[in-house]
Amino acid sequence: MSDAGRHLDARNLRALQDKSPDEVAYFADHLSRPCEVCEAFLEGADAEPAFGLDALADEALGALTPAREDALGWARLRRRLFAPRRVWFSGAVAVAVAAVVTLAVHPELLTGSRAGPSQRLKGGAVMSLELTAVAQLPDGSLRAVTEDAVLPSGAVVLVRYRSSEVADALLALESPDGPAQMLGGYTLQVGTHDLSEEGELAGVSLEGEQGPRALVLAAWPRGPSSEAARSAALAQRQVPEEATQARLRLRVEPGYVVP
Amino acid sequence: MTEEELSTCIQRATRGAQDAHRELYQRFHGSVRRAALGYSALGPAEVEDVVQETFVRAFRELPRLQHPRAFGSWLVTIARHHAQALSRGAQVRGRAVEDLALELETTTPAQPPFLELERRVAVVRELIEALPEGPEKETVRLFYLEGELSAREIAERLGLGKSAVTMRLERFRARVKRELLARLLAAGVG
Repeated sequence: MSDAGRHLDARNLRALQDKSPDEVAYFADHLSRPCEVCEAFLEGADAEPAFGLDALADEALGALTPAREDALGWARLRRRLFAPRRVWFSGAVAVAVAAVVTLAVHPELLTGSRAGPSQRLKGGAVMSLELTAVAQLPDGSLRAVTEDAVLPSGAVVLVRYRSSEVADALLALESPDGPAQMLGGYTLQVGTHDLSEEGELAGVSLEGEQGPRALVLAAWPRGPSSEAARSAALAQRQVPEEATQARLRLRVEPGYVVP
Repeated sequence: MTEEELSTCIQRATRGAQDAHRELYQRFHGSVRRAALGYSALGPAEVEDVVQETFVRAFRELPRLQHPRAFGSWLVTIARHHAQALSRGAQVRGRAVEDLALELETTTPAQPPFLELERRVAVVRELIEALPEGPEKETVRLFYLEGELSAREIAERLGLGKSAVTMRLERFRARVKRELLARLLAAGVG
């Protein structure tokens, strides 16, 4: 058979991997031009993996367009990779509270300082905090999360808040039959915003959850030591009941299909 | 992200740094998702599952990765295995998982410097440009260059069967492999 008639097959692919000089020279030239026969061989499911070609091609094909920030996907992955510490979240049973609450703040109880009330409390100021959420469903669609909403475990919940104060805050996921999960610490701004930290949206994956749950945002006005207090609260697994808490109840049902 | 930055990032991730994991995810999730989206049998939820499973697997196996430069290609290899397993059905999933285990054990080889990612991307762009105007080029352009649609969605838009779109994408992918192999052989890597 003349050289011109030779195409890739399992035998000469092995020869190429064995660095047969003749084969390498021939196919370096032959494959520099389109060849339907050789491409069909490389396309075939039975083509033997060689030279890491599949990976080299796929990586290049996937890199043609720059990836967008995927906060939701990362939130879901982070939840799986870095299981949050499970803590008892101070406060009442999740299923017995309202979606939006407004309470007085006593930050000194969190910091441990008893020197006196914060300046914010001197004037009798009351922090207002509201919590709403939207869920990204497994099919990619977005739904507002109403009180007692039923969501599949594949959903990721994005939290939105309205705060009357610049505040430090903790986000937790409560369960009536087990310890709550501390999901992270955040800085709240005045007004209505998506909950985020360093530009990253706070997405809460519901993977692995089942039954009634409550998202809880606990916040207290920012002060000189409030950020340290937030870290301490996370480390000590304790959030004071006196912090303003906003809650949103929901129910997780694996496999549930939102109509 | 330079090779040195990637290497540092992988080292930090191996030690458990969450921000390094995040950086790797944000840098590479697009390539992984695109590999999964090429399987028209997969719906949106399954594609996202492939992305998740790929990164979970890769991050857990990270200490075994010998060549940081190979991280991206290693990821898409894992992604394709997962996508194939989901596409083919339960009866062959076991075999696909075995293949995956083998793939991870043997580790992905270092990429030749002359075929670093930027160079390969340029090669692919040249190949797309060289395609004759027609349905194949349109399919490749929609899927790889615009990068917004899945193979399934392209089939709907073009009024084609899902398998027809998959076939066109696989054909083009084979062309890319042929071109890359030619360059490897010409450089004496073979």
